[in-house]
Amino acid sequence: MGRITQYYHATSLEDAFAKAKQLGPVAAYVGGGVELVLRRNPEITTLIDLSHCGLDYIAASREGIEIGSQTTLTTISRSADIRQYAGGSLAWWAGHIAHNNLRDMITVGGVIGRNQPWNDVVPHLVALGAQVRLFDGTERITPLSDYIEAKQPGAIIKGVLLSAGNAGSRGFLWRFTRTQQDISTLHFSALVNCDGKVMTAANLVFAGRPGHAALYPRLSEELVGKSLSHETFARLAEMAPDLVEVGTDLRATGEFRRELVRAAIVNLDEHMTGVAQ
Amino acid sequence: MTISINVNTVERSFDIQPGEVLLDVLRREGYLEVKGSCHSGDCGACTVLLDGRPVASCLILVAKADGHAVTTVRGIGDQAHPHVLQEAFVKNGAVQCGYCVPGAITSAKALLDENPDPTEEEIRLAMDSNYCRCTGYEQQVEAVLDAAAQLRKGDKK
Amino acid sequence: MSIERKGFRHLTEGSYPATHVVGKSVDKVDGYALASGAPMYTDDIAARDFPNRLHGRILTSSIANGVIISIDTSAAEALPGVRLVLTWKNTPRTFYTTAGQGWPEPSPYDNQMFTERVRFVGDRVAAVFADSIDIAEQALRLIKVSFKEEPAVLDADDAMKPGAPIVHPEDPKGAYDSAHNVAAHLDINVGDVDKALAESEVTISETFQTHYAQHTPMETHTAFAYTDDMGKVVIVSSTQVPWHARRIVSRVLDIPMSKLRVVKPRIGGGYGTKQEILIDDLVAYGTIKTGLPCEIELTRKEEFVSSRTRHPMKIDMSIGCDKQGHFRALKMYVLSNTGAYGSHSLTVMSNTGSKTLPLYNKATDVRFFGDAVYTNLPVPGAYRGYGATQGYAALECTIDDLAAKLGMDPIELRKMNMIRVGEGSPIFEALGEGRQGVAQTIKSSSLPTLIDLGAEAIGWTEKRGKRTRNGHKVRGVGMSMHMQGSGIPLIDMASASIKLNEDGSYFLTMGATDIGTGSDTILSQMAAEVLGVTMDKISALSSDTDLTPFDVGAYASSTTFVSGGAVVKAAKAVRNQIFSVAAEMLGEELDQQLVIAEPKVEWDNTQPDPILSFYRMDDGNVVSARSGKKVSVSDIAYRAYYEINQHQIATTQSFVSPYSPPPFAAHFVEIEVDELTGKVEVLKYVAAVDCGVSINPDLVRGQIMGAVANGIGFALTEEYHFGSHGNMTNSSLFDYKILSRRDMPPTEVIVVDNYEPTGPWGAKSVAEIGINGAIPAIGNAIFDATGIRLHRTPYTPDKVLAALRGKSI
Repeated sequence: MGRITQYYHATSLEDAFAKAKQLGPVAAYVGGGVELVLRRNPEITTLIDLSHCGLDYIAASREGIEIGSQTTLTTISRSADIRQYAGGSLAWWAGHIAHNNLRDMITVGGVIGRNQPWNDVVPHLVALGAQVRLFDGTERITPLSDYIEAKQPGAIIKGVLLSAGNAGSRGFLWRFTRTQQDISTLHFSALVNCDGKVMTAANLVFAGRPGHAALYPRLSEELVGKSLSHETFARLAEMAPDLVEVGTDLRATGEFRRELVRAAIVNLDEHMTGVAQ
Repeated sequence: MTISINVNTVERSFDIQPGEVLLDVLRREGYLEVKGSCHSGDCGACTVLLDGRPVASCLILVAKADGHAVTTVRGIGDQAHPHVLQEAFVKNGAVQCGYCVPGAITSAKALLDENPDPTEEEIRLAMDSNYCRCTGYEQQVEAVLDAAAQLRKGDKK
Repeated sequence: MSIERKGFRHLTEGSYPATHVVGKSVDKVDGYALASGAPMYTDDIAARDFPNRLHGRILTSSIANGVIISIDTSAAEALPGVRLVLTWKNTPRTFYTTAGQGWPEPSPYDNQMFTERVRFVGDRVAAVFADSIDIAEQALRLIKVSFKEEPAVLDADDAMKPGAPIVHPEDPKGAYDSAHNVAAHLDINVGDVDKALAESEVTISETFQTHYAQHTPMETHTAFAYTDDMGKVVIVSSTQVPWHARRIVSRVLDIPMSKLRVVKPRIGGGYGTKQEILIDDLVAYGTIKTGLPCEIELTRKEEFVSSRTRHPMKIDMSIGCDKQGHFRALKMYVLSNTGAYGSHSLTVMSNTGSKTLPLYNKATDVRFFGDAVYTNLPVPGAYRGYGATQGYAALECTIDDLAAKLGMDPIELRKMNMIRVGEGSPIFEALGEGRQGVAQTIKSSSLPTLIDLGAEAIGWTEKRGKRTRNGHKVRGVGMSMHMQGSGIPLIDMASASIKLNEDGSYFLTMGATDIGTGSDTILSQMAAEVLGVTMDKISALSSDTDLTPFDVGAYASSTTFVSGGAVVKAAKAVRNQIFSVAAEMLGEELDQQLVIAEPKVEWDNTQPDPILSFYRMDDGNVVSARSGKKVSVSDIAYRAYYEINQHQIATTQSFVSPYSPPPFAAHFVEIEVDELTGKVEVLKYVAAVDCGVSINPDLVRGQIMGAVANGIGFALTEEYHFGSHGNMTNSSLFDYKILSRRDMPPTEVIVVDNYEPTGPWGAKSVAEIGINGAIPAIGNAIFDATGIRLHRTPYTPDKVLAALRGKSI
């Protein structure tokens, strides 16, 4: 165990941020639900609890849906608005990944903030084009994919925004795991917009390679403007294994993960062309 | 620091270290019905209800439960007054070594509290944290179906 | 009798006497206590009764092979709150085996409490007892150890090669040839197998490799010890073998048995790994040295790395037969990896042959031979299935390949060659557990029915060879056939005591070690049946080396059959004492020879119990067959204890059997192989089992289901990953994946009862057999679906996919 000596229940975002700023690197936010990692960090002496900062909300508006960072996966999975968003893929998977204890503990802000490798929600949110609302004295909004690339130390994630513009697109998630509650050996998420015959927009994300989520614009481009056909996806399945960066860990070799990349695209093909019929 | 938790409907205050997890404090305070196993949130043995939701008490910092309500399996029922779920587990051969059972029953209680008529698949999903190495799971699923049916009939609670 | 519900069919074959408690799914006697979380496991009791106990933590080796040059514990000892630091320097140097087995012990004496030479990553270097777990862990980090590292044997194939590093240069007593890393060796011959193979019209030879896996009981190994007010050291331990634990600790620490007591509380699962003395010695020594209660609870990581695993085996299997498929020759060579210590090395290996080859008794020429070799890897031990699981992986897959070669249905080939009622096998006598066996004749078997019902349940004839496609997935079916044993004949002994209370209830004490299996329940049922009472009239206690009589413990599928035999004998003996008082009270004659004669388990099975023609038990009363009069057992007890000719009505009986009737099983599975990912999904599993009379059908089903779940996990997802120096890299439940509730496929258990004349109330045992089917049945189904034979387990997606892509694996 580390040397945690203080547990601070913040009363507001401003309060939490001020406290963290005052204490510097010995402080950490508690908001992910799963805080074991903090106990093991010998540097940290103070924990700042975010659960009383009003961050557990799901708000739908004309612009889209905002999910408060302290919202658990279970709550997300049950939201009627999120169930309708992009075919309901986020809601379904938030209710099926990991296991029931974790789904009731893990918060969306927690997994984004720590970029926890077992989590399939973050890459899926990236594919859905989500943005994060950050607070570091003032509020600002930045794309989730940018946030992951260049993490803003000190900033508190206030919420996650799903834009209304993507609500009618088709969200898709395919993951390969050893058992149902294992973390992904390979995660593949896609958001595809299709007018029935031609695909007009696409976001493709691979994760668990091992490592965190990344968008593959080069692969996405391959779909945009193309007809919804097996041939289109067959071309993609041919290119993707060489383009997606994969590595070796105890769950799989890089070579096997390349096969999974191909399998992911075939599954997207079956999903999309099946839907079209 | 001192925190207060409502455990099984009784207001308790505990002297704790800010880095301690709920499981360790509960067991130290005599709630030995909460069993520890993996201490990493992978097995579900230590499941308790926090404000009605099933959580892994080995992962939750106890300070986070300050001011909240915790229910252990003993708060659901005891030997003298077993809950219908506990009865159904015994009657359906769902208890073998029993080490996973407090956690499994606690997950099942959270499910039945909000879904009185779950499908088998919903039961498996709502209890998928609870590893069991003895029963092969099926008899526990049948026990929850059985308990749910009895609860729906209204002659038990 | 026939019970049918989803997932469970319970049928009977043949006829046998009606019973009132046996054969019923009565509530588990500890069910309500466990379901409400009562503090009954080892750590619960320690926490409740000894809040100020010391907590132990173990320092383990970070290198695979080498010698400790220096070990400095001064900084650890100086840390406030540290009470005791143990290393090889200040602990007994006795060599012993950690395997909790009978006497003389069949495993080599290659272990010491602490060693100067470490033999695997995870080997025991030091232990600390301190006021808290945190302090103990801090203290471990303050122990300075310097090692001289030596080359290691990290592959069983290399162990016997010339020039290989020697794992045990001290040449332990009982090791077969430690200079070549051979812990144990066997060579059993019936006839001339090489000649028979040469003369066979059709032969097949294949090699299979099985893998490391762990039992993962939900409760890790836990023990605590305290010194009682009379100076006796009491160990409370999550053990399967209380008497072996006491015997071994007594020898290692040189404490007389009169000063040592082992208590087994409720156990959170064992499956074999708690048939091992891993921490009992430490907590006992801790309390002796400090005078304070001491506890050790293994962490999950230690449970994986430093406790016990399953012996990985490489098995060469050859079969010779004629063109019609009649077996003539069976030849099996086993290279068993026993890791750094030879725990169960000989006996697990012998069961690889003795529990498998007799199933096909039509073969006239059989050779079973093998070497169990030391390596610098984690230590295997007893694990449900005990070698038979590995043996069936090779045997049952080879038979399917032979069937393909012969152009036969694999079921027909098996039926042609399998053992049947009235038959024996020369292997039974040639090979026991690490020594000569005992001849056996099969007296009961539902095996032909199991095969037919299982085939029907899976849809064998409709589905086999069809390769039905579902997109990029293809389906197949497979099956396998098994037997196990019911205890070790003429070795395993169990005993039980029963005494009568004044109200007509009974106290049953047993050495039989309920580790969660439900043995307290089914053994109480057996007693209740003999005594003509309901379950509430029996109160059972197991097991305590001071308070209950001896039993070898919970292993070798022995409890139902062997301990059950002891309980039935004890119940009959105490019943006869009751009859004797009843005769006095009713003024009737009763030949005292009938009362004092040693009761037989088989009485009422194959021949009537002679005393029952005079009296019988009926719902708490004794009824005279001659006069029709009855007297209550409570009145009998009051008279015997307070009134006339006063004496205690009680007995202790023991049972050892020349028989070990095998349970039989046929497993069937339907699977789907994803050709894009290589992932194998089990769509349906059918386990058809004959365990004699099911004493408690729900608990029988539970034993089978649990074993099947463990077996499927072993076949598909559970495996050890190793780093470059034999270090396990996935030692957590996060990285080592057992099946979760959502992974368990729809599974149908079909139990076909068949009265076993040598068993208590017709029962055989059932604990292990269910784990043997998954590897061969799934392997055979993959073969059916794809034409690919996998020779290495587990059947992980990468292996399946590589094979599908035509790569050698």
